[in-house]
Amino acid sequence: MAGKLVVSVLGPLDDAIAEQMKADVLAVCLVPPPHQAKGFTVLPEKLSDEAKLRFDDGALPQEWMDWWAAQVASLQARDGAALITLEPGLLGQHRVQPLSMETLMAQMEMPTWTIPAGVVIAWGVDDGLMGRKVLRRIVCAGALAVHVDGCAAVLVADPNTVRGWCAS
Amino acid sequence: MQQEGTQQSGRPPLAAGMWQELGYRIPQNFPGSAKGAMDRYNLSFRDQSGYRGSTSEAFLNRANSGTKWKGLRLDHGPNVKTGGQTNWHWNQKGSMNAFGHADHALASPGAARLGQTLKGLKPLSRGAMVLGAGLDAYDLGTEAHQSMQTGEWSNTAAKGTEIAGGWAGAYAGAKSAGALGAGIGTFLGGPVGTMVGGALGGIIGGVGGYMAGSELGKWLGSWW
Repeated sequence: MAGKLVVSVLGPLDDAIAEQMKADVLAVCLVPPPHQAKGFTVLPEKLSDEAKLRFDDGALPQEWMDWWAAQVASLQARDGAALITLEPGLLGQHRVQPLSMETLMAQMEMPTWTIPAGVVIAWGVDDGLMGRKVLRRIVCAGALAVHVDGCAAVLVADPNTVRGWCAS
Repeated sequence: MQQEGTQQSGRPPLAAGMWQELGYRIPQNFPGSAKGAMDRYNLSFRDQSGYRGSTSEAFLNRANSGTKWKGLRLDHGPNVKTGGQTNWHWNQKGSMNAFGHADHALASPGAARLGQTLKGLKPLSRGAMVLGAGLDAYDLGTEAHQSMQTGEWSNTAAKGTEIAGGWAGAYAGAKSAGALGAGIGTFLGGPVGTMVGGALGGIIGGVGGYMAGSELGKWLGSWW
């Protein structure tokens, strides 16, 4: 899964913490068991002084945005690749749309980016759901969700996929 | 009509629940992100973007920042600066000069206590407000039922005026006293002071406003 762009300011999230965050992803996506969770995060202590200043003022590190772009490039080719985003409103509906770089990048500036699993890249999503707003959980083969105020990603998928993701 | 007075006694504290639904304009200007610029902020206790699932309890929202939120918020959730551990921290975007808190900076014990208090108080306040509205609707229904039997509708009109006056007063009282409290709090104690002052002002203003508005409504209703 496009690990080439991973640079030193990013690193794995503690497994126990990623497991806790799995519930937030599964509240949006119905990934069939068995599934595992793995997290990846910005490591603020490894940012350059200049990048740290920008990060302290609320900007995302460029490496982090590049990492997400690499995930989109990698996952776009999968069947039923979709971007699932939280919609405004008390019901907590989600919009399902075909995965594209532009739609994901636009989300990084939205309040949804800082909400746990407010933005999710999923694959194996039913084509019939594309372009629709959905209230129920969305059945998919795997999901990569934003977490930790937009500074971490949690992958929930079958153990083989998770192992492959870590190896890359 | 004869039920007036006794039915009112518990209502003002319920109207105080309105504070956490409102936004409060902070009177002071704050240093902006651009050199020499000043920004305006408002205080709210709910995410004004309308999305469910925010982990924040209080927001200082920069005015006129469009769909891209800018400001400072007191958040309880996983924190990137502590390896994803859940704690009380500040999240901010473009408001570093205004409040001096870095994004993801750990909250002080006082700020954490405030956050915890808000987290417990807000659902109770919303429940109280809904209960208050329900009781008022019941009162109005009772008066209307009586009017249908007697054919005399002045009592229902008077009760309606009293209730409308109460809620309008609660809104106006909470908004104005909340803004005043936020202004005083900002002067005394930075962002935490703003939030404490705004919440206290909103609660006190809501109660006082409901009482004053009800009395005014009752007086107006006596003209029916």
